[in-house]
Amino acid sequence: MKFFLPILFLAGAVGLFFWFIDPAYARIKELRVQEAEFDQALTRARELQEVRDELIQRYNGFPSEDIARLEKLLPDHIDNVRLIIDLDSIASRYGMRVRNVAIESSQNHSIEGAVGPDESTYESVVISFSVAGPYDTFRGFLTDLERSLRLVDVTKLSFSATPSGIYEYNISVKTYWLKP
Amino acid sequence: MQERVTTSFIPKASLQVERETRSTRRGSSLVSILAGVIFLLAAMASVGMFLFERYTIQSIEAKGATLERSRAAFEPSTIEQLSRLDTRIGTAKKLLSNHPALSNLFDELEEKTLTSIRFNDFFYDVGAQNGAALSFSGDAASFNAVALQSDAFSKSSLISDPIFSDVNIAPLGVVRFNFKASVHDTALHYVPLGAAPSEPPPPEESATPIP
Repeated sequence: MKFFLPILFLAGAVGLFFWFIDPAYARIKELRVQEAEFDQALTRARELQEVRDELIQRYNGFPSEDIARLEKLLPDHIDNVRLIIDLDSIASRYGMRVRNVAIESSQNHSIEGAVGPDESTYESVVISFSVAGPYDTFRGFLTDLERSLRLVDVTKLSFSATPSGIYEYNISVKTYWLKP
Repeated sequence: MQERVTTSFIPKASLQVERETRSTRRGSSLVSILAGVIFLLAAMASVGMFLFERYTIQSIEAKGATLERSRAAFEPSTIEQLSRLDTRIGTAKKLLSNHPALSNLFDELEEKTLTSIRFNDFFYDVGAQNGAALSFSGDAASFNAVALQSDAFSKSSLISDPIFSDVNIAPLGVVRFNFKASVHDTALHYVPLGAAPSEPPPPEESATPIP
């Protein structure tokens, strides 16, 4: 009878350990891991916020005209009608008109034979057309075409000499747009 | 008869039993105290664990809310806009670095073509794999002129693998020929106005417009 109380205390202590302390310790360990992940995420969030602020500051430093020019250089969609208008506008500076316009193909830029997802950031289309005029005039047109803000790469060009000196130039150009 | 009473200070019963009882009581109370202390420590640890667990949960909730606020502050549309601009700049740089300037080819042809040579047609095609192909047919004043033209084209930095074929005398006495070559892509790259060209063009002697 005299050891009843110590035994009760010891049983209570053991009971508390197994019933509450040990499970609570395991839970706290998990919570601490979770808390550490949150701490890490918060640190990264702070770093990202600094980067974002810096980028926004740089973005705001760009003149809006330059961004508009960049969007014209590489538009968000094919915008082929605008391109044909631009081509005709360039040709008309040299007294020529754009004719026989045709869209040949839409291309992507994955390397032939390559396996895996297409990681290219742009798409392209080939537009063919013809203009007629003297050689010197065509050279001027070609130079303007190369320097035009809307990026066009000449992929095909053919013409034949005629006695009149007015040649018909068949041109294919590749133009690009940014993938959505 | 009256009994004789004997008085003595010496206790008749032994004190040994009392001593043992006291020692046992002291031992049992020590065990009780120890057990009590252990129980108390367990109870205090339980309370501590409970409070620390509550504190940790509240701390995680507070950090989660802060993280959510940070995420909202990022403004996904702004990030999307910046990311798109970055992609646009990178892609534009890449495309511009490969942008061909066909004028360079015509400049080269005008410089390299001899006055005794005339081209009748012109065909330029950027193939899928082997770079750009160049072909045309023409007339020459003599076989020597064709040979000299072949020599001039072979020294060109733009034209590679020049091949003259089907060299025949036409009815009017001119020498007719076909020409095929490939064009160095890198030499055709567009150089913006004001920017220094990567390779200065070599000086040439003759300058003949085509065709």
